[in-house]
This record gives sequence, structure tokens and C-alpha cells, in this order.
Amino acid sequence: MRQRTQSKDRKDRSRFKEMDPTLLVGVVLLGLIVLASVLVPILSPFDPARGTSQPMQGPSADHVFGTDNLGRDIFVRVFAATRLDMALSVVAVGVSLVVGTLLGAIMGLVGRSKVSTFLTLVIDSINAFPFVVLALGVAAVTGPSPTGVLAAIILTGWARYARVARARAAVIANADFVSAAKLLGYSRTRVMVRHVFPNVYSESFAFALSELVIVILIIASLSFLGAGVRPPTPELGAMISEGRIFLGQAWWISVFPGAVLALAALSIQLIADGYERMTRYA
Amino acid sequence: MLSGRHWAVGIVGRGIAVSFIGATVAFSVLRLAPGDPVLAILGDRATPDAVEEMRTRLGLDGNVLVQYFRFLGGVVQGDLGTSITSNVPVARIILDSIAPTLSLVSLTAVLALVLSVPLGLRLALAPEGLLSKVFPVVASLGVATPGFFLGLLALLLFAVRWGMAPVSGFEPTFPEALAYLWLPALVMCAQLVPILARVFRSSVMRTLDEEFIEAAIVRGVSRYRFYWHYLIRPSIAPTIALLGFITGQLLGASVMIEMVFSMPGIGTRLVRAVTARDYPTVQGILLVFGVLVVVITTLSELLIKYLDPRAGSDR
Repeated sequence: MRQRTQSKDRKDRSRFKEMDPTLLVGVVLLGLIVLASVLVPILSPFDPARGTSQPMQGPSADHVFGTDNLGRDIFVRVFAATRLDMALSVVAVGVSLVVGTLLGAIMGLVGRSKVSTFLTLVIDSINAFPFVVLALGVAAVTGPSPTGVLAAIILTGWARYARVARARAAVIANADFVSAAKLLGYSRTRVMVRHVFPNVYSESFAFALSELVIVILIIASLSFLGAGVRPPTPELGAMISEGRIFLGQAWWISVFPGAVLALAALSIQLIADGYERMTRYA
Repeated sequence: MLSGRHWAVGIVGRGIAVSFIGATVAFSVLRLAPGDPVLAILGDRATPDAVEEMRTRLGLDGNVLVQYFRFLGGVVQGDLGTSITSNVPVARIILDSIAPTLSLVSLTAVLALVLSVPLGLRLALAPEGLLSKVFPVVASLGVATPGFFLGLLALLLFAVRWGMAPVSGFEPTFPEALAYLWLPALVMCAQLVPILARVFRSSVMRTLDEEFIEAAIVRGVSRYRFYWHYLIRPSIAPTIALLGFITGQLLGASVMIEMVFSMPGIGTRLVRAVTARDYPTVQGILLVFGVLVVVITTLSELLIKYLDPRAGSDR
């Protein structure tokens, strides 16, 4: 039954050749941002780390986004920062996705046991905290550095995927095709890997896309608060924070990093929305 | 399903159990996160005596079980340890800084509900209207813009340029506090209202299909009765459940907003403690956040049950 609906899904999806417009806009926007964050630091004549120009210049032909209080070109810094933020959030989401989904899927499949009851407790209590707050607490110990931020986000984030995967796996574990596979005498590993995991994974992936938005914002937030990536490393949240005191005289120091961060988050948000709609209604 | 008033006892009991677990998580952060807090404070070249002394001050001496029960014992008596940087009891710090945070979060929750209900109603009743076309775009922008950045922009425009709000601070008395709170609360609503309005819209649309709606129209009930009793009350439960869940996350958002608006709240204290590596304070504030989230979730469950007795009866 399950498998039949699945193959029907797939056929429908291939007929759905033209992409969901939201998804398309998101992909194009994200593509542009990624392209810029790779190319701008290579092509720009300015060094993101060193200030060689007149400080606090407004946007001009030379300095598209202006310069900051140390005479650094904001345009090149913004995209160097975007590259770092994107890389950090993709790694953080990737690791938490894999760890959380595996653990959750196994828990959902195994059902009630002492270990899984205990893990459920751990997962629920981690999820009871606001993400930023717990990540901030962990970051206090792991320290203000890119690796510290990664550790903080992964240690806090995996539980969110585990919850999604556990719920999904618990449903699938009772599906007819899983019982059939068990009756056929397949090993537990095979049932897990071939029958349960692929079905859990699609939903977890959709969830991970929407988490990516949250994670990129949280990385910037932690850095904005001084608990993440520290200046002088170019990072969007840290740059916004650096420009804070000059907001009255030189708005561009904070506003451009903020705008690019918002655009990056928006593009991922659109992709997540579009992907969800495509897989749900297609 | 328990009958009568027992459901309230069940909800509150579960809340107490979860806050106990929240305390355990707060306790674990210092112990499980990679890196040694003692060395982080003192540096690598500290003398063994100094290390030992700091270990005792942080409550990190002895085996983990002993530490755990000592910590829980302290929590029960209201003793959350002492700040390393200021030597003030952590419980004192929390009590002194909780009022701005709670006022901010509750004002935001109320404001968000007040804005989302009419918006969601309008979206549901006029799915082809202009508002329904503009809403998704504005909503995505609102959700994707980081709150602290939006806060900075709002601060720049409303407080610095136009002088419509104070630039920083807080006043703990009632009408004065609103002057400090309205702008940060609105900023937090920018992320909250799109989500709530969307959920409320779909609940209202589902309610519109119910037979009692048709019956009400046929019977010609008064406009107020129709909207409140027939449309809003049966539709509001999912929105409040979500608001209860999100208000927990709102406490997280308030950390950022407090920093931007320089409000002397618990979030500001947390950030200061994190950057100063004041671990007892971090641990105590984490605990409070965990408990607050549980309290808010529990209250919203009770409220849902009151507004729509059908809710959660399958639990």
C-alpha cells in the first residue's frame, strides 16, 4: 500500500517538470549569493582583513558597500563572511541531521526499551530550551571560535532531528511493507537500511532545509552577541555588531551585512517552502 | 483520559516533571560540553591550588552524582550558586533582571495574538483579496530577517531619527514600562505574527466548513456572537498551542532584542555571563529559562482546554 502510493508520487513528481515558482526564486537567489561569496573575495582588489582605504566612506563606485571604521572594504568583507556563515551552517545542519536522524530512526524502530526511554527524555529536555539560549550556554564552554560555534549548534541541534525521525520511524515501523520485509526474514539491519531509513530521510531532509534558515541566523546571532565568531574574522553577525555604535553616522557598516544575511536566510526559506510544497502536493 | 478537574492536575504534574529534567540539562551543559571550564577561566598556567579552589567554587569537585545532588538540593532551596565575577548570589541576579524580560515576552505574546486573530480572520474570509496576495511575501521577509537586525533598524529609525521611543533602558513601573517595551515587542511580532496568522487562517477555514456555521448563518445570530462563539473560539486552540510553544522560543529571541535595546533583562545577563565565562550564572539562568518555557507551555495547555474543551481529549 505504502509502496504503491510512493511510486505514484514519483511519477507525479516527474510530470511536475516546471519547478514550484517559490523554489525557483529561492534557488536563483541562493545561487547568486553563493556565487558572489565565492567570487567576490577572489576578484576584489581589497583584502577583507586589512583596512587600506579611507575609513567610514559611504557607498561609492570603488567601495560598493562603503568602508568601515578601520577602512576595510565592506563589500568584500560581507561576502567573505557569507561564505563562512554558509559553510558553518551547512556543516552544522549536516552533522546534526545525520546523527539525529540515525538515532531517532533507530529509537522509533526499536520502540520501548530502557535506552530509548532515557534518550527520549534527553531529547525532549534539550528541545524544551529555546535553541539560541542553550546554544549560547554551550558556547560559553566551547569558546568563541568557529569550531566552538559548530560544537554548540550540533550539540543543541541534533535533538530536533531525532524528534522528527523518531516520530516518523515509529509510524513506518508499523507499516505493512515493513512487516512484510520482517516476515520475509530480512535482517534487522536490512529492514532498517533499505525499508525504514529511506522513508524517514525524505521528511528529515525537508525539516533540515527549514532548520538551515534558523541555524544560519543563530550563528550570526551568537557572533553578534560576542559568543560566536570573533572579529576581525569577517562574519555577518559580528560585522553588524561592530557597526552598531556607528549606526547614526555610518549606517552602511551594519545595514549591508544585515541585508545580505536576511537575503541569504530568505532564499533558503523560499527553497524550504517550495520543496515542502512540491513533495507534499506533487 | 481523566475526567473532571483531573486533567489540570495531569498537565501541571507533567510540567513539574519536565522542569526537573530542564534543571538536569542546565546542570549537564557545564559538565558535558567539550572543554574544561576551570582552565577556561584561569588559563593554562594556573597553579594546581588555584585550579582546585576554582573547582570547588564552581561546584565541580567530587564525583558527578555528588555534584548533581548538591546542585538539585541547592535549587530546591533557591540557592543557584554565586557569580564568579561579581560574587552576588545567582538567584539575586535572576530576580533583579527577570521583570523586563517577562514584561517584554508577555506584551509580545498578547500583541501578537491581538494582531494575528483579525489578520488570520481576514485572510480566511477573503482568500482572493489583496491582503491574501501580499501576505506570503511580507511573511517570508519577516521570518527571514534576523530579529536583532530588524531591532537595530527599528532603533535607528524610531528611536534615533524620529525620537518616538527611548534608545535604551527600562522602567519597572507599569505605564512607564510600555514606553520602553512597545518597539522591541513590535519587532518580535514581525517574526511571530506571520506564523500565527497563517495557522489561525487555516483553522478558521476548517471551522467555516462545519455545519454549525451554516446553521448559525441560517438562524441569523448576532455578528458578535457569530465571530466570537462560532468562528474564533472553535478555531483558536491550535494558534494558542503554537503561541505557547513559540513563546518558549520567544524567550530566546528576547535575549537578542534585550541586547539590541540595552534592556537590563535576564537575556542581557546571560550574554554577559557567557562572554565573561561566569559559569554559575550561566547555569542558573539556563535553569530559569528551562523552567519558564515549561511554565508557559503548561499555562497555554490549560488555556486551550478552557477555550476549547474538545482539544487534547485524544491524549
